[in-house]
Order: sequence, then structure tokens, then C-alpha cells
Amino acid sequence: MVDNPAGPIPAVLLTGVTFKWPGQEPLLTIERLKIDQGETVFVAGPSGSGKSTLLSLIAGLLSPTEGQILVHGQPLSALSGPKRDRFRGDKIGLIFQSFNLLPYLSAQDNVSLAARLSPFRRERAIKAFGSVAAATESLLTSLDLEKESWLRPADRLSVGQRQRVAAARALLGQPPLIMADEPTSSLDADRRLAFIDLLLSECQKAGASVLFVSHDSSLAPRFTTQVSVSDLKPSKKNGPA
Amino acid sequence: MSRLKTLAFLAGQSAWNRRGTLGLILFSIVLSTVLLVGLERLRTQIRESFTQSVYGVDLLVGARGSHAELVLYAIFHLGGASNNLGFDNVQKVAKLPEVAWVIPLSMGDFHRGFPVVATDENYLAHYRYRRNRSLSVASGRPENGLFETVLGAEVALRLNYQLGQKIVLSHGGGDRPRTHDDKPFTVVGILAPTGSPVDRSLYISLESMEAIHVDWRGGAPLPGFRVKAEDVRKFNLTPKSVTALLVGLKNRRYIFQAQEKIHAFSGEALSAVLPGVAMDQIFQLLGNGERILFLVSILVTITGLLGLAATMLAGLSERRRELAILRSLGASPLDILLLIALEGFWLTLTGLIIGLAILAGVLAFLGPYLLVHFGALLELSPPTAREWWILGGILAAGVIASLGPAIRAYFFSLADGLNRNV
Ligand SMILES: Nc1ncnc2c1ncn2[C@@H]1O[C@H](COP(=O)(O)OP(=O)(O)O)[C@@H](O)[C@H]1O
Ligand SMILES: [Mg+2]
Repeated sequence: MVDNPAGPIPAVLLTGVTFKWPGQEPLLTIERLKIDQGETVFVAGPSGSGKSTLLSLIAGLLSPTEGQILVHGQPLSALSGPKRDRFRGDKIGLIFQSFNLLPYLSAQDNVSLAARLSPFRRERAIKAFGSVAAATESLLTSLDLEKESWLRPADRLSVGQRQRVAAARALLGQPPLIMADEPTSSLDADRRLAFIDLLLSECQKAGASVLFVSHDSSLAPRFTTQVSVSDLKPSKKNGPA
Repeated sequence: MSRLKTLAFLAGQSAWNRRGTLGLILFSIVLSTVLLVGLERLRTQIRESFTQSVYGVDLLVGARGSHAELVLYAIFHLGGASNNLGFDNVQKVAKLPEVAWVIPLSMGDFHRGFPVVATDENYLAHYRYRRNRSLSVASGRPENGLFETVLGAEVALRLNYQLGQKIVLSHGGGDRPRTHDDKPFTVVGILAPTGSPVDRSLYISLESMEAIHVDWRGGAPLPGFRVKAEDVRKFNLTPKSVTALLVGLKNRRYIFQAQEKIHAFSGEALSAVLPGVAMDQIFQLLGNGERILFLVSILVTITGLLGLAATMLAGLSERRRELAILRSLGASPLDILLLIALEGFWLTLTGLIIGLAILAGVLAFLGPYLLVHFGALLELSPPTAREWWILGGILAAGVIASLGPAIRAYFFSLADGLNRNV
């Protein structure tokens, strides 16, 4: 399975994966997708091409119809439901397009929620910063969130602030894999690049691999690797005409 | 454990955030609690004060008839007796060796709807309410001579009567009763509130009762025969009959012995009744009404909890994003189920606590008022075992009602992945 048994374990490895929603044509056919540790990957593809579905598969929220998915060497199919949920909470930080935050929690509580739900990330945050609160504050500071908005409920933050809080939550406790699903599509053009640069530099500091999906290919140059969902399909002769 | 704490925290915060919508549901749970627990409290306290009203009375004696009726008029001064018992029998009962005291009662007259009770000094000496408190006057004196009356607390309060007031008694209840306006009474005493039927009654002496009826026969004034109030003393005012007798024994051990002896009196047929036994018959009559009230409160509770389930279900589609976020952070579908069920738990618990607080407030502030104005004795006290069961039942029903939405959320979160609405 692993190409180079001597080398480091890849952050993500998909082989021969197909996925089909019930009653629909197969949506994803991925012969092979590998993300190395520390690699930042940009996945392009038009709307409806299955980018979000791909992230759900890697996060273990959906199971592939066929094929195998390994995250940090761990085959997801080998984990029972609750173990897979726990694994996701421990190893993956997720950022969504919008509606990232629980509206009734403050910015700070939204970030520390990651540690509340994952003892693994909680311990890592404490180890690195002394306490979850200190880790939260440090992340919010480096993601440029003004101190006066830390205690504000999430639904009274601007869109840009919300995305930065969401990024802080994904990064808390240093999960080895950060996945983002079009996190910039609700930001205006000049804010997008600033946000991505901030996110990528934080991921780099933490040594996390990044899987970033977007239909906006103008962001692609910031990443080490670019792929398109359609590129992942096996050679034409098997695919639909 | 810390996971459950997190879920409880989230459920609380989320519910607080949606308090506008949930407020109405909370209100219906509060209402259910007040109804169910309040009703239970009323039921037990009514029974309690009923039972306490016969404290110390070992036997009730009346003309033969329904035992429940005898209790109703002899103890609660409600309704009327169809037959009296002769005064010679009163003296025979009093002379039985087992008997310590007898209180003769003569009823049938009213004042403005309140029953008039004619009795003697034994009433004051031996009548007990609420375990063993004896009667006392709030103002004036308890002894009443001819054409003098002592009022129960509620009578004085409702009619705003003071000492020295002249009042007229009427013969029987009914809409247009004949009055004894030729022989008015003077108020000489007002009793302290007791929370018993005493509060609703007027007391006169047996002689006064006889005196206002000297020129009456068979419930109507004798035509063409009038006796002036100042002339009644010329007549023999020893009562010829009374309505009922309250009997206290020297020792409760003799209760059946005394009962048998009274039943064996020759001449008129008498009933000697154990008040507790007759009381049970009354409770059985009340039982049907109680059951209907209880059923209605249960229906109110079910309606409230269905509202809870419906509101939570309706809110779920809006909350799918929220649930997806929790899933992305490592929450399992079971956690999601728990989160929703916990919301139901919080809501119901909050409703219960508010409901109990309202009840406690009502009892603490209105209790004394209810005692004086309605003769209802409602005391503030910790929940009884049965009330705990009712509270637990409401809480369990609330959690069960929220399981529907919770299970639905469970399946949402299994099927959604990251795609829906996120
Ligand atoms: N929850 C779902 N149930 C059924 N079909 C879905 C669901 N989510 C997505 N799909 C299908 O998958 C397709 C791709 O969706 P998605 O992965 O969200 O694409 P993208 O993120 O690239 O826009 C949709 O066009 C839809 O047909
Ligand atoms: Mg998408």
C-alpha cells in the first residue's frame, strides 16, 4: 500500500476510492491521492464536483463505496463509529465555508470547544501553552483577532473575524491535518489572500498538513501542490464518455 | 464524564440562545407542574384538614341515616338532617359509663348562608381542630347567653361584623327563607381562625335555638301566636331534640362496646358512627372528582410535552449546521442524541423548578389568606413522597418527549457529512 515503506507515513492516502450517494451516479472516482506530512494541497473543482464529499470521506463522516482511506497510516474502515469520531476530533482540524461557529458561544469558547471535545488536543494545548485558555489566547492573537472581540458571542462577529476564530479552533491542540472547505468564499477578494497566508503560516508553525478545497483557482499558487477533482479519476477509458 | 459535562454545557447555552421560542414551552411545563403538584397538595391537605376536623371525636351519633351525611352536617355543617334525636337519648348517651363527654349540636338555621350551630359549653371545652388545638376567641367572649352569638372568623370577616352587632337568623337555607326578625341576636365574640368548618359557622346556645322556635311548629310560625323576645324566658327552654351528638370516650378501647349500646337503645333508631370510617366514605365520593381533575392535569402535561417535542423538532433543521460543526469536532451521533435529550432534560427541569417556586410562593404568601378567606389550609412544606413521584414523572416524560427529536438528530448527523448547509 505505502509506496516507500522506509519513508515517513503520509498524512492522507486514498487508493481506489469511489463514492456514490444513494440513488445517484458515482460522484468521486479517485485512483490515488497522497498528501505528505507538511504538504499543503489545493484541490480545485467546480461547484458540485464533490469537493466537500471528498473532505467528508477523509474526515470519516462518510464511508467510501469502494477503496481505502488512510489518515496518518490509520485505515478509517478499521475504526468503529465512535472511534472514528474520536480520531477525527483528535487528528483533524476542519474549517467550513461559513456558519463555522456556534452562535451562542463566545469567540473564545468556540475555540476551546475543540479541546473540550478532544482530550488529545486538550493535552497538547496544555503541554504547549500551559492551559487551554492560554493556547486559545495565543492563537487568537496570532490570527489577528482584536482582544475586545474574544468574549463576544460568535453571531456578533464580522465574517472575517468568524473565519479567523474558526481557523484558531481548527489549529488548537495542533492536529496534524487541517482541512478547509472553501473558507474564503464569503470573504472579499483582498481579504482572501491575507486569510490564506495567515492560515498557512500558522499551519507551518504547527507542522500540519493542509488540504484546502475551493472552486477559486486564483488561490492555488499559495500551495505546494495543486490538484483538480477531475484529475484524480482513472485514465479516460474507464470513465463515462 | 467531562464529555457529558461539555454536552450539558452546550445544551444549556444553546437553549438559552433560543429562549424566545423555548420560553413558551417552558411556560407550559411550569403550568403542568403547578397544576399537578398543586392539585396533589390540595388533595392531601383537604383530606388532612378533613381528618383533623374530627380529631378527638370518637363517635358521631344521629338519627338513623347515611353515615356520610351525618359527618357532613355534624362536622362540616353542610346540608341538613332529615331527622333529629330526642334529648332524652342525649342524656342516656352522656350517662353511659364509657362516655367522657358529649357535645349536642342543633342545626338548621342560617345567617346569610352561613350555618348556625346551637350547642353548649362542652363544644368549647372538647372540640379540637388541627391535631389538638382548642378554640379561642380573637375578640369578645366565647360564652353566649340568650340571643347572643359567637362568630367564626370567616363569618365576621366576610360580613364585616364587629362586637355588639345585631343580626337576624333565618330558618333554613333556600332563596327566600323565613326570618327570625322578631328575635335578633347580638354578637358577643369572634373566634380566631382555625382553617376548619368552625370559621364558617355562627354559634348560639341550645336555649337560644329553642327560644327562637317557641312560637314555631313544623318549620313555620304558628298562625296568630306570637311570643315577644322578652317573654321567652317564661317558657321551658330545655331542648326537646338535637340534630347530632359528638361523643368522646374515656378510652378508645370501648368504642365498639359504646356503639353497640347506643344501637340497642329502645325507642328511636340511632346511628353511632366512627368518624374515620364515615370520612372514608366521603373520600370515596370525592375520589371521582379528584380523578377527573388529575386526568385533566395529565392531559395538560401531555399537551405541553408534545409542544416541547414539536418545537424541538421544528428547530432541528435550523440546527443542522450546529450539529455538523460538533460532528466535525469529534462528536459522535450518540453525543448529538444526548445533546438534544439533555436540552429536553434542562427545559423540563427548569420548568419544574420554576413551577415549584411559584407554588411555594403561592403557599407562603397566599396560605394565610386562603386559610382566612376560603378555610383552605395549605401549608408550605417539602414535597411528599407522592409529589416527588409526580415531579420525577414529569421529568422522565420530558426526556422521553425529547427523545423523538434526539433520534432524528442522530440520523441527520449520520447522513449529513459535511455537505448539508455547512
Ligand atoms: N447529503 C447529501 N445527500 C445526497 N446527495 C448529496 C449530499 N451532499 C451532496 N450530494 C451530491 O453530491 C454532489 C456534490 O456535492 P459536494 O460534495 O457538496 O460538491 P462541492 O463541494 O464540490 O460543491 C451534489 O451535487 C449532490 O448531488
Ligand atoms: Mg462544497
